[in-house]
Amino acid sequence: MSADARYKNFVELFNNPKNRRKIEGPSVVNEGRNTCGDTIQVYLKIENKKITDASYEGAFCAFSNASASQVTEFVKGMSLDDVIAIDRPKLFELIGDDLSDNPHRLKCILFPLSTLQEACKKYKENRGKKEFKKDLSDIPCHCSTENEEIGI
Amino acid sequence: MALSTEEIRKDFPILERRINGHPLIYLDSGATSQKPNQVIDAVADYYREYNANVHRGVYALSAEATEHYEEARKKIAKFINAEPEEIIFTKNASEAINMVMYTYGEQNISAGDSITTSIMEHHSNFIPWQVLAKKKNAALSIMDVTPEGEIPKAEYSKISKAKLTSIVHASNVLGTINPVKEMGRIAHENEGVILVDGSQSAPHFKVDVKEMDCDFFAFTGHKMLGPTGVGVLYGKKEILEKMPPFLYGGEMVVDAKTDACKWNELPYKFEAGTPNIAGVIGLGRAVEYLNNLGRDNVRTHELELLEYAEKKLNGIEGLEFYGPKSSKKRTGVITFNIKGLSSIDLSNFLDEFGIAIRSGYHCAQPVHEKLGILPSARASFYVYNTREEIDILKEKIEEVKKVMS
Repeated sequence: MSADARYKNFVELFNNPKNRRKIEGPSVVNEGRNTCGDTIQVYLKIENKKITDASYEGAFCAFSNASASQVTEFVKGMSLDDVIAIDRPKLFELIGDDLSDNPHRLKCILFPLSTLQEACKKYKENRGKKEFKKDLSDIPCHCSTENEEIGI
Repeated sequence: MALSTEEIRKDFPILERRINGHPLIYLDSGATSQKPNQVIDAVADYYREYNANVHRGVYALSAEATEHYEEARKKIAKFINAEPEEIIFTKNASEAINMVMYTYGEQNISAGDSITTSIMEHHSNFIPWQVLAKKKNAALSIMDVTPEGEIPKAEYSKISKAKLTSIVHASNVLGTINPVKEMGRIAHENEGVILVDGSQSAPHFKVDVKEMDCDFFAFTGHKMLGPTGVGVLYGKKEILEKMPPFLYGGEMVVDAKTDACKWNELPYKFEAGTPNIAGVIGLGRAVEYLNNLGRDNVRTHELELLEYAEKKLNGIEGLEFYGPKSSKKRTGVITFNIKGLSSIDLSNFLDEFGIAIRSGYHCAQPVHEKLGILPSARASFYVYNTREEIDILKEKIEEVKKVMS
């Protein structure tokens, strides 16, 4: 594949990202760090155990940006458990590339998803505790994730 | 040019490779250098012709292997102006630094003591001291850098308070060459010791540990035309003699009784187990190769390329260089970012054109964070690089920029 062709899909998504913004009053915020040094913050708005809005910000490469854009768009309206169950084939489908000819960049597309999935897990955990501490329920859950390719 | 790159390149078979249909342009010698035929042959000759363990057998092959191994030690000692018994072979510079931490550090650092390093260190010369300081309840004092990437003199007061200072000779990110001799003088005036991490200096310019008067000097073979898996710790004889061994086992002991042991003499006390014999012999040959080129010529060649590259790349819109402005204060690395273009996208894309550069933190996250720099792109030069390669680098960066915007 030529350089232009390989990058075309990513560049298009990179230059037209969806949901690259902050959500005011999020239900959960999670920060992820890739081993190369890139960072991402994922914001989720959750109502009745479903994601009503998802967004991201940070400093990352075109591949991470493309992945974050597609993933945040896809999860809107989904339940937390369905988001946690998103696997690699699904991610490849969303991005339109499995990176089989550019495997060094797998981490780039995985880490936005793992950060988002970790946000869902942390939120679930946190909500469980909050049921006993109702006065804390308005405080968003802030957490941090390292890229360990968890469960995907 | 100070060196005949045309002739030199004939010695490096890998430079004939094509990557993604393009001739390889290797600009990542800061990560590891390529190897000349002379080194590859030296390693292969050991395995083909005189493979045997060293310092053990009383037969011809073992004697031959031992002779080559010890001959390499002598060459490497001379290369940095040390004595052969002050040269300890390790697997890399990280292990050399860790050896000092686990032996000298464990023995001499106590609660309330101070260890000084700098913010521009490679993780290999930062994390060991952070861990030791925590373990011993000692203070870790970190010398700061200016926005240009130099340590201000005011920071040297941290050396005067330290029992141990460990500092990089030349930064792998900024290229900054630190005045280690002056730093060592301050350490010694205050009864401290100094370790110099020479991973990015020994390959590129003349190093003299006696003139520098450092207590320890660590470097690695694979960044200076040698094989991977072999590094060096130099230590002053009187200090090494007082240090406990690092690893225990064969070779490092002369008298092994059931209740106690007597350690071997220097440097074998610190070389437990069968060493990387082929690696050491290969490194000895690499040292000979660099000596034949002339180390001042190597330095001049790299400075020429550095100045040429800076001038050439300076015209790229949105490009920002990091490190000291004066090339005299730097080694042959240029680290940069281009606005709106991630360094990993850039280096991955350049690979399409056969160009290898590094991207990311280069194992030096603290200095990036300190200077507020995103993960960066780095091109590093060595004896086989040419101006033509830099011309192509510039041309292809422009092409990547067009596609990515």
